[in-house]
Amino acid sequence: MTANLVGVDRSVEEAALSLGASPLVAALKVTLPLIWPGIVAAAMFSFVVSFGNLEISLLLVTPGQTTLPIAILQYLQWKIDPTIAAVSAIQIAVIGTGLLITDRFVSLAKVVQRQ
Amino acid sequence: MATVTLNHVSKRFGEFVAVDDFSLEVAEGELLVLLGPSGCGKTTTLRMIAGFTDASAGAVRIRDRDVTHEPPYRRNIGVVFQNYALFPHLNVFENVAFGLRRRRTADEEIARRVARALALVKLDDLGQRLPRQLSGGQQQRVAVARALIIEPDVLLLDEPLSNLDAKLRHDVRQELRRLQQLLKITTILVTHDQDEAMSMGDRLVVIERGRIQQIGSPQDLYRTPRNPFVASFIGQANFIEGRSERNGLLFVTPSGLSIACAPSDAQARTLMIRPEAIDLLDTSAGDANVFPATVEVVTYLGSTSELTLRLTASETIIVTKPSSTAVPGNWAPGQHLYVRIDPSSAVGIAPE
Repeated sequence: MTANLVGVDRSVEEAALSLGASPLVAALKVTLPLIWPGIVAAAMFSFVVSFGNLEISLLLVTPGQTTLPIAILQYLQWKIDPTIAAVSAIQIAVIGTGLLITDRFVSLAKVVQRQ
Repeated sequence: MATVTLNHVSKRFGEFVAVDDFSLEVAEGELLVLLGPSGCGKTTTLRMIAGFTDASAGAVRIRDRDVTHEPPYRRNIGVVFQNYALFPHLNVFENVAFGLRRRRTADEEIARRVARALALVKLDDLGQRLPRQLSGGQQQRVAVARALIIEPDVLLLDEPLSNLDAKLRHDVRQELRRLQQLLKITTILVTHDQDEAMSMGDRLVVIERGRIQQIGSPQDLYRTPRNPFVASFIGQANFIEGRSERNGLLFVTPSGLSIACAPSDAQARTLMIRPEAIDLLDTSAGDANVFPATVEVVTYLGSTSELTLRLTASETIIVTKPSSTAVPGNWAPGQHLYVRIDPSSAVGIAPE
């Protein structure tokens, strides 16, 4: 995200202002489209990290709510069967699909390259 | 009528005075060059005219309007940035159309005017390309088309040629000048390159350390620079220290040279002589203003050759001659000859 923001040239916004765009219009038409890949990528990575997180989630969950990693841990304490492998495979598929869909709209290759 | 007027404009950054009390007028259709070494305040001046930087004092007027406190988007200006600052996510067509879209121009008219603007900068077929698919020279032309399409009151060019290679720079310089004269658009160009300034400007403003040193046509500045800084920044110059006599018609050095010069300030302490205004002779021939000299260094520069000549123990001068007359062996270090200084091109300069 920071890398993406640093990559945006200030003079591009000034160019928009000189052409008659108010600061709000310049932000919407120029700045936002330029930092959009960074925002999406940052959101994506944050999601992946927090989705897989176990320690903090264990501390934060209230009774009645649980996250998938916690459920997996609890399940593993009592049984050993291929269900967990199946769940993991589905997880990988879900995240993979998420990344592919994101890549359709913003080029992740570009974001990673910039960093 | 002046299109742009600066009235005692200053800019301070804390203690540092970047621009110190600038007053100047840019006439309708004129190309004015702000010329100076880097950090002299020329870009700050341009940014104040554009409205990107607030003036600390003074007033900026564009046409009849005091725009000192107006934001850039209400000034009707066209700016070409040093790095072009094209919108990387928009294609060439949308880059150029940006200003018109902000003005809510109808689609058909946008299409027509963008086509005309792209034809003007000879990029007719590239409307659908993205900026990163263009060469540096093409990007620069898109930036020019984008700035011109809104028919700005004044076009501001911030070192527009400095990112181009030397050969292309020469072509683009001619091209920009042609466009500017064709459209008769009032233009302010910022540069540190004196060749660029001389070849493009109707008038030049020479700036050093935040102060205007001199304003004038290229010819004025070259022939009668007001101080040694202007003389050495605009072209090459020889400086000889001494004092003026006979009401500024004769310049006498401590080493005993008496050089007839153009009518100059009687307070002059420096004599400026352009390297190409000095003739080389084999004999003294009894002419006026002829002095013996010894060749110290001969430097071959292609179309010209540069000779360093020693006049006295304390004075050397540099003379340039077309290389056609400087056949190797014609002049050699250690050779004795005579120099004739044309009085009309020797100008005395008084200290500030």
